[in-house]
Parts: sequence; structure tokens; C-alpha cells
Amino acid sequence: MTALLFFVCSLVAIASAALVVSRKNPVHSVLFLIVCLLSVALLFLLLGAQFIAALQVIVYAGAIVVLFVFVLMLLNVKKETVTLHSSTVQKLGAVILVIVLLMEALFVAVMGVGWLSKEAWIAASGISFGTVQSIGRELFTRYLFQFEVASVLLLVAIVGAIAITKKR
Amino acid sequence: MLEYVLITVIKSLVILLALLLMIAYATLMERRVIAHLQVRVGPNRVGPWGLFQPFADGIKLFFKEDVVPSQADRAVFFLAPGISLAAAFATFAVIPFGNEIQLFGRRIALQLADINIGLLYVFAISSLGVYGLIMGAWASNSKYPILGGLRSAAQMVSYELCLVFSVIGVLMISRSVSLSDVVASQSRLWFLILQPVGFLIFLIASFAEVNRLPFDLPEAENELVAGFHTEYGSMKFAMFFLGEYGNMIAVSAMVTTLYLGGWHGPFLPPVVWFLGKVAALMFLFIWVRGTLPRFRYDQLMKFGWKVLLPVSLANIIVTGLILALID
Repeated sequence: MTALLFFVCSLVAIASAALVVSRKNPVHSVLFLIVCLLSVALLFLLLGAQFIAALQVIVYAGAIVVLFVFVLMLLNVKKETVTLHSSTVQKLGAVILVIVLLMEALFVAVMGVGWLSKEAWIAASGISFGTVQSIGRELFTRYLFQFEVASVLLLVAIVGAIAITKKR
Repeated sequence: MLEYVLITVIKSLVILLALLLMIAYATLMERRVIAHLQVRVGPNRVGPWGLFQPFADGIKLFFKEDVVPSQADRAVFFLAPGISLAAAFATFAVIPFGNEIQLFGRRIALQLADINIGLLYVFAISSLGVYGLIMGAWASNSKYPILGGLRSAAQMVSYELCLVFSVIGVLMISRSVSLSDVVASQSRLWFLILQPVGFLIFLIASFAEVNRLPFDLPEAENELVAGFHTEYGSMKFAMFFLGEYGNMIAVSAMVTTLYLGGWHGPFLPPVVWFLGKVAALMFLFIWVRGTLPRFRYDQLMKFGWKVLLPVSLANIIVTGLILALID
């Protein structure tokens, strides 16, 4: 059951990610981005990381992508008017990179710690790093310094954004 | 396993049907109460006291012609009402309606899923619900819906923050994100008494979240015709409408669960207490609609960011300090 859900979610995530870059209409791209983020949230859920899954939906799908949509609607972009002119070198480079990536994926799938074996799933279900309690405990004990630094950084960013808009 | 699945399916069906019935009668209640507030009579012709009016409305909406604007983005246009509706209904999966009951020799919890992250799940779902609205607005490809959609996107993002921050006080006291734990820790004292400021902020922000007066700018009828659903008709309009009332009931249920003690109450069975509290809050929603004028858009933003947000942050700090002192 878990394996089936994993494959469905992964396929949806990959397919929607591909659609994000291939759609001409930017709003459609954004909508597929939401689908992609939601399927990644489901993958977190399969790992038992409920808190991370919820954050993924609230922060990414719920807040950041709403801002994307907001900007797109404000600018009222209908279709992608600027078509990218790609040279032969770029195309060749892209093809090589895709091949390398696919080989890598194949390597991981075949050689990696057997997604066919049952132990992998048991190991995954044993993890409890993603519950509210465990994340809270880690954040406020082991990673306290990093946590504080990140919050100060965010504060600086907020103040900077306000300063930029005030100047005009 | 099979038994568990069967029980869950039955519970979901019961919740869904009850919800549809509640929405149907919420529309009637709204029309009747507003009518009485404005010294009118309201719909009273279909059935005794107009009690069959929702069914007449439903049949009418079913048989109306379904018009799709020629310039609309068809796929998104069709998808939007569904998302609105699904997001509104999905909230009820985690809300505890009552205590455990004995039925056919089994103990059945009156809650579809008691998950560890109940409250976060509700916020996640409600943050997705705004997409139904935005997508509908964009796909209509017409100026009034676009304006309505823009406003609602900004409004929802602003007030979602206040909503989340105001609840943190409750979580600090109950020491859990699971909604059944929140209800359990209110068995003696409602959080309304321990968290009066948080309660007020949550209530105000939830009015904004469900686009009700005095925050109904996304569909301000005298400037934007009907806002984001201007181009919608027939069953698709009805689905938006169901989603809107579903959201109203969901928010009432959340206020009940977080601040009014959930299903706790003396003498009467828990479910009755729960439904009674939800109905009282629904009445409050309608009462406010009949009483208050609409905010101006800049006032709305100022109020959200400069009043509600700082107050909710202060609420968190004060709650934390008091809890630390008690410990």
C-alpha cells in the first residue's frame, strides 16, 4: 500500500514538475506547481513526517504560490510572449545534462538500497523526525543557535524590504 | 482493516449529508434572520414557515442553463468551484463532534480522523481553499472577477496570519496541536475565558477568511457586481455558494472547538452541545451581516496588519510569560 502510494505520488510530482516548465501559459504553470508541491507533501506524509507535510502545504502551496498567482494576475500575463531562442550549443548541453540526470536516477534506482526490498519501508516508517514534538525539541535544543541566526536573518530581510519600499 | 474502512466510510457519508443539510438550512436561516433584522418577512411560502425553501432553490439551480463565457479558460473554469467546495468540506475530517459513543457493541469516536497535527491540517486546507476563488476569478477572463480575485488573495493571505497567530495561545495552554486534546483540556474551563484576546482576534480574522461582511470586499456587490463568481451560473455557482456556507460552518466549528469548549456541556448529549454552539455562531455571522457596514479596502489592510497582527503577537508573549510564571 505504502509502496503504491509512493509511486503514485512520485509520478504525479515528476509529471507536474515537467508540466510546470513546459506550459506556455504562466498561470497553468503555477497551478501545476501547486500539484507538484502537494504531491511532495504527500511523500513527507508517507515518511511519517506530518509536521513537515503540513508546513509544506501551508508555507509553499498556501502562501508563496498565492503570491505568484497574485503577481501574475496583477501583471495580467496571458501567454508567454517572449519565446526563448536557444542555440545549438544550448540544445546539445541540455540533452547531455538530461542523459546524465537519467543515468543518475537509474543508478540510484537499481543500485540504491533496494526499493524492492521490504526493509527500506520498515526503516522509513520507523523515523519520527517529522512530528511537532520532535521538531520542536530539536529546534530549541540542538539547533538553537542556527534557529536564532535564521530568525535574525529573516528580521533583517523584513526591515530591508520595508526600507526599500519607503525610499521610492 | 475492512471494519475500520467501513466505519470510516459510513462516518464520512454521515458527516457529508449532515453538512449538506446544515448548509441548506443555513441559507434559509440567513434569509429569514436578515429579513427580520430589516423588518421584512423573508421567504415563507414553500412549506410551513418556508422550511422547504432550500429544496426549491436547489431544484432551481439544478435546472438552470449552464453558461460558460466564450473567452474563459475552460479547464480552470470547471475546476475552480470543485476546489472551493472540497476545501470547505475537508476541514470537517478533523473536527471532534462529540465524545465516544457505543454503537452495535463498538466504541466509535465522533471524529473522522484524530490526527497529531489537526490544527495545522485545518490551516493547510483553508490556505488551499483560496485557490478555488482565485482560479475562478482568473479563468472567467473578465474584469470584475479579476478585481475580486485579487482582493481576496490579498485579504486571505493577510488575515490567515492573524488567524494562525491568535491560536498559538490556545496551543500553549493545551500543549497539543491535536484538536481532540484541545477539546479535552477545556473540560473545566473554556479557552474563551483564558484567551479572550485570542478569541476576539480569531473571530474577526475568521470573518475575513470566509469573506463575510464587514470584510466581503471580494464580492462587494455595488462595485464588483458579484466579485469572483460574476460569470458563474447554475450548478457551478451553487458549488461556490455551498463552499462559502460550508466555510462558514467550518469556521464556526473551529471557534467552538478552540474557544467554546467543543462538545463539552452539562445535561444534554455532547453532539447537541456542539451543534448548538455552531448554530449560535452562525447566528452571530448573520447578525453582523445585518448590522455592520463594509470596510474600505485600505482600512481592511491597515486593520489587519497594524492592529490585529501586533495584538496577536502581544497575546502570544503575554500568554507565554504567564505560563512561565505559573510553572
